[in-house]
Amino acid sequence: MSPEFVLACLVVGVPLGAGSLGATAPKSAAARWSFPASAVTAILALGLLVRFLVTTPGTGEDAITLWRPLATPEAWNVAIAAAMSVATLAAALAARARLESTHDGPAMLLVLGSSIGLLFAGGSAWFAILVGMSYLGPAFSLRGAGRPIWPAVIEGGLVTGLVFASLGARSGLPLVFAGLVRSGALPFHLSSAHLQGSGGGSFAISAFSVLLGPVLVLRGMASGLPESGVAVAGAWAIGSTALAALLLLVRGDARRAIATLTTWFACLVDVAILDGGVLGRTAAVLLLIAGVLGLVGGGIAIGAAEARVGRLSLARHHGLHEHMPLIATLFLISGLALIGFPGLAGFSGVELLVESSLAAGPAAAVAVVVSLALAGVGILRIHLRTFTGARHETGIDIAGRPREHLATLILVASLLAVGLIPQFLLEAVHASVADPTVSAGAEGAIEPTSVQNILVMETP
Amino acid sequence: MTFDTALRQAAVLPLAAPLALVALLGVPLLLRFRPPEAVVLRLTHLVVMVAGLGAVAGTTLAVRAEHPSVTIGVADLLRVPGGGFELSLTLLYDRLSIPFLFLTVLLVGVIGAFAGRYLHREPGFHRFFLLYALFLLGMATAALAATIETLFVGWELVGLSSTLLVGFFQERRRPVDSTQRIWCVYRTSDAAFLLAVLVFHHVAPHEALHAALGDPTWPDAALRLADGPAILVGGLVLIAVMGKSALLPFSGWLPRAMEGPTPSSAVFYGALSVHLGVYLLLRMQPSLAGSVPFTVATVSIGLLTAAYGATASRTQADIKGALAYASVSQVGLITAEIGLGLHWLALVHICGHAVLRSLQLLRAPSLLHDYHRLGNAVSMRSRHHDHHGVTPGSSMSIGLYRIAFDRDLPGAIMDRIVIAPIGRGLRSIDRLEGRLLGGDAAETPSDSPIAAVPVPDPVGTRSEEKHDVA
Repeated sequence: MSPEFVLACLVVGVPLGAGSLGATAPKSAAARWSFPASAVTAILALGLLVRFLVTTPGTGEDAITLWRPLATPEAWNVAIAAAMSVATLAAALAARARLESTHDGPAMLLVLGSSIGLLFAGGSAWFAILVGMSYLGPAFSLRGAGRPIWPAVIEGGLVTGLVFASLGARSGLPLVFAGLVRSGALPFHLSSAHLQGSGGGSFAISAFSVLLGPVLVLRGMASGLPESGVAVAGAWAIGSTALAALLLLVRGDARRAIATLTTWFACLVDVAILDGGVLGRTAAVLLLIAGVLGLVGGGIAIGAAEARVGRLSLARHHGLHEHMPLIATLFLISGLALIGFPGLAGFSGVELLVESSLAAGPAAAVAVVVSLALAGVGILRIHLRTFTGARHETGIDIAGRPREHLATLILVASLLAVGLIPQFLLEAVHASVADPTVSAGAEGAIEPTSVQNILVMETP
Repeated sequence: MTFDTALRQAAVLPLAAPLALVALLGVPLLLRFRPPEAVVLRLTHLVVMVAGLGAVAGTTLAVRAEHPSVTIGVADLLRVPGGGFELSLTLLYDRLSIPFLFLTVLLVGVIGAFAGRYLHREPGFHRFFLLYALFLLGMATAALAATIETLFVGWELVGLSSTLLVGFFQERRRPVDSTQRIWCVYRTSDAAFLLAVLVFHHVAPHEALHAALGDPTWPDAALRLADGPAILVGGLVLIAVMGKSALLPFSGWLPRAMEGPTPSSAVFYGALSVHLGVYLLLRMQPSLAGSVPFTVATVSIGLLTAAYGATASRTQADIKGALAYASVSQVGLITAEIGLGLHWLALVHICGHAVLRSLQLLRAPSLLHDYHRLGNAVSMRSRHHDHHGVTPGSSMSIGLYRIAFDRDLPGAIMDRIVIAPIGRGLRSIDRLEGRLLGGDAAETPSDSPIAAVPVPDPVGTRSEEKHDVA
């Protein structure tokens, strides 16, 4: 058993264990658990990522069985897992600063654990079970906020059903459709918006939850897809991302705007994957890393603003910049990272996405570019409405708290680090998602790669 | 180390120095530490001087070269193993980039010194200089870009820093609304630019794009696109230029940009930012000149913009508005010159116009002050205050006056015809979704950017501006 495999087990096991215990523990204890557990997970995940960036670990066991819980980790899923851990750490810090719902801490850990579990999942049956389990966190959060859980149950049932259906299917089409539903493709963006409604730490929960959609699509694409299936799924994803970008311009409520931003981004990543090439897959992974950090950053900023002035209407300006300049900066940098601004985490992913979308066709390229432009307008609009305008007058101190500032620093540093030095990550990710035929030896023997190790759904 | 090697390393300084300034000013702000104003100013002056020295080094290198032109590879920003995608930071010192770089360093340096006093003890002092550093970085990157991707990086940095500076006084509603509006135009421009790059990649080999942008023999062209591709690429480039350089129908953003503090209006909108679009056109035009429709479109848009800007500037009630429309007029003329292939004239025109406009905009506040003091001293008002040099007469001149007086009329027409119907449709979808989500239904703002970017009532705007000026 390789050291990477052991570390991967810990990265999955620590948040799942802590989240499960926290869910059953007394409220005061549950609130305290989320931060240390997410910190330990982040340290483990970053350690694993560093190992992948500085060395080239062996591929370990290659045999795949239906019930194998974890496959050998690869650079692409380790990088996403590390981003998720860091983002959860920041979200946990911000949630502690606001003394939010005690349900959010354990729910965040459950979602983090199941999300990383999904990324590392080996056997298909185990994968399907994890997909179902990943809906427990959001449902738990909704229940804690006193909101109906049936949208999460319906969507979870549909997605899990499609994933189980894919076990017996010859193509990855059910899995791709499951991924699109999970990404919030039309009309399933409504359930994402519902989930976002509980506010607070659930911004992070919802972001992870939705961003797992592209992971399903990635896995489905690796299982093989008929050309017509790719065309239908691609059109669905492009249509969804374009409409989400447009709706971002008129949203009247900050939470729904963040939900729309999340689905826009997830569908954009789906477009990258459905382009089919190695470049598209590399773009997708880089975008997912940026998306995890950026969406959680944006969610934390809006959550912090809501904690001060109540539910935010985008019909007017709230003038919070003077009270919380750092948090305003976090929102701006997070949003700019999502649209691929130079020097920030999303830049490399967006550049590769635009390049790969041209290969899929001029219409796809135009849709991607226009969608990015529209989303940029929508993001600045949310920023301006929330943080600028006449100063919000209040008799109490509503300035950002030290924990929130620490969360801001963690996320901004991560967004800048990934954006300013993207080459290491790009090389590692590209090698791990490369097409099997690319690594074929001189005799035609195909080297085992992550595509075989992790992505391929075996047929019975 | 040879002399040439040292010069090559020094030639990177116009980028490295502002990048260092961004880090030096940005990191303390993130750590909630505000360095004293004097330290910020000294750092800024030092950085501008170092950037200037770097520009001198690069120029020396180019003069010693054959064309004179020199390309300097700085770093590979992104390189996909096995080919497929490559984004390298490559600088080009040639006959076009050198004047533009010197213009940038000179004007940014002057404005830095001016802003240190002008914004003394302003709450946003540090924010201004951080955006200033980002702007200098973007302008230097765009000016020296030898690849289209490098130019796009600079283009984006300039766009963001300029936009955020318009909203510098972020507690006021109008600067914030103007910020939103300008960002909309810039994003349209960015999208058109990116699409132009994609189409160029589609119709010509990857290397051709580098040849088109980094051609050392400028204004001659090593690559000339055929008529069909030139129309498509040229059309998209022209849209990008129209957005960035405030040509019709996007002219309305430039007067709005004057909501920012005077130093930023002077250097960013009056002098440099507004010329970045025509700089791109100047760089790309030789490759697109073979297309007659592209040439006709460029010249027509340029002349129409010049006529509109000249007319509108004569009816504005505030000095910054008048100067903004005067800039629109000159940039229109520069565009027409480029379309006609008068590259050297256009380059000289850009430099002369930028310097003159900066001076005028910097002088504007004190000019008004002097004017009022003089008026008080002699106890009378100038006749200019009442008429602005226009005397309505025939119905045609009244109509012309109304068109020119209505600030951002082209934008208002575009809003009514294109944006408002889309906005109505989207708001209906938003309301429907709100009903489906039950308790989550949120109010849809009537003034969302797509629904109705506030186009100020000309009368209201005019009276408010009079109040501001007073």
